[in-house]
Amino acid sequence: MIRLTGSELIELGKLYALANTPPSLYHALAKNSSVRRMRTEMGPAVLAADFNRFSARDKRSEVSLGLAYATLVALLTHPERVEVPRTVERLKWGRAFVELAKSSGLVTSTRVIDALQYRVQTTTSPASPLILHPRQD
Amino acid sequence: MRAVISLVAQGVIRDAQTNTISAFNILESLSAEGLPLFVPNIAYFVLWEREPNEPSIREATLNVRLEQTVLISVGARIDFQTFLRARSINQIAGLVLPSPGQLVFEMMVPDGPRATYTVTINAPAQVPPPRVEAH
Repeated sequence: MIRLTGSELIELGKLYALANTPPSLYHALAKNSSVRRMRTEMGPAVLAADFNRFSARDKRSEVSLGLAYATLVALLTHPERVEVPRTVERLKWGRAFVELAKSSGLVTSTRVIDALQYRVQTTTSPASPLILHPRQD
Repeated sequence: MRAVISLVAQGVIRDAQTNTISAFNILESLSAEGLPLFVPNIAYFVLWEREPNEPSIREATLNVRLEQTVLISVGARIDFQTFLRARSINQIAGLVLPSPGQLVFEMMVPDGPRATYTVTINAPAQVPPPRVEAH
């Protein structure tokens, strides 16, 4: 986990406390500078492990829940291919966040065409390439 | 499924960190100084959107034609993976335009939507020959 300052943690707690719907919290966190830092400085495996740790805490405060949701958003919007943690249901809005990430995600295919030699080269860059597990109901 | 954005620019790039797209020098027309006109780089961008119940992979064709002449025709798969939106960036290098006219870029899905964008290629301006006056 990257080092977050006290004010950054309080900011995450405030976002959680003030959010009234899953989309409002998801989009506020997706734009948050701490979440952006987590996304760029941490790999998906570390984020997933941290999310499991934060979401498993018995004693939950606004800050700890804000941190857990922030880690989940950083994971779901990570540029590398990630697996959605099975423990996502531990958070009340966890499944809703996965659906939001799915609907706001974008895949980019880049095709380079050499018109003179008629050669085509294609690459694909998934944005938040979720691997979704079937629900364990 | 539908095309939300369709445009041609000199360059279209994706920021790997923020996953945002930037297009620079969007082309509406090109004025040739001479023909044939050589276009070293040109990019055609399409943003596709599908409904959740529609298939995630669609086989499409990318065509570039000048009036009735097909310059490029290649297969272009649109793969949404698990998402509802997909971007296609088609970077074309070394396009040779032999004559003025309507340069049409299109991505077509058989029995499905079609994205299109037209760039007008203007003929070179007629410059009167220099007049030589005898003294």
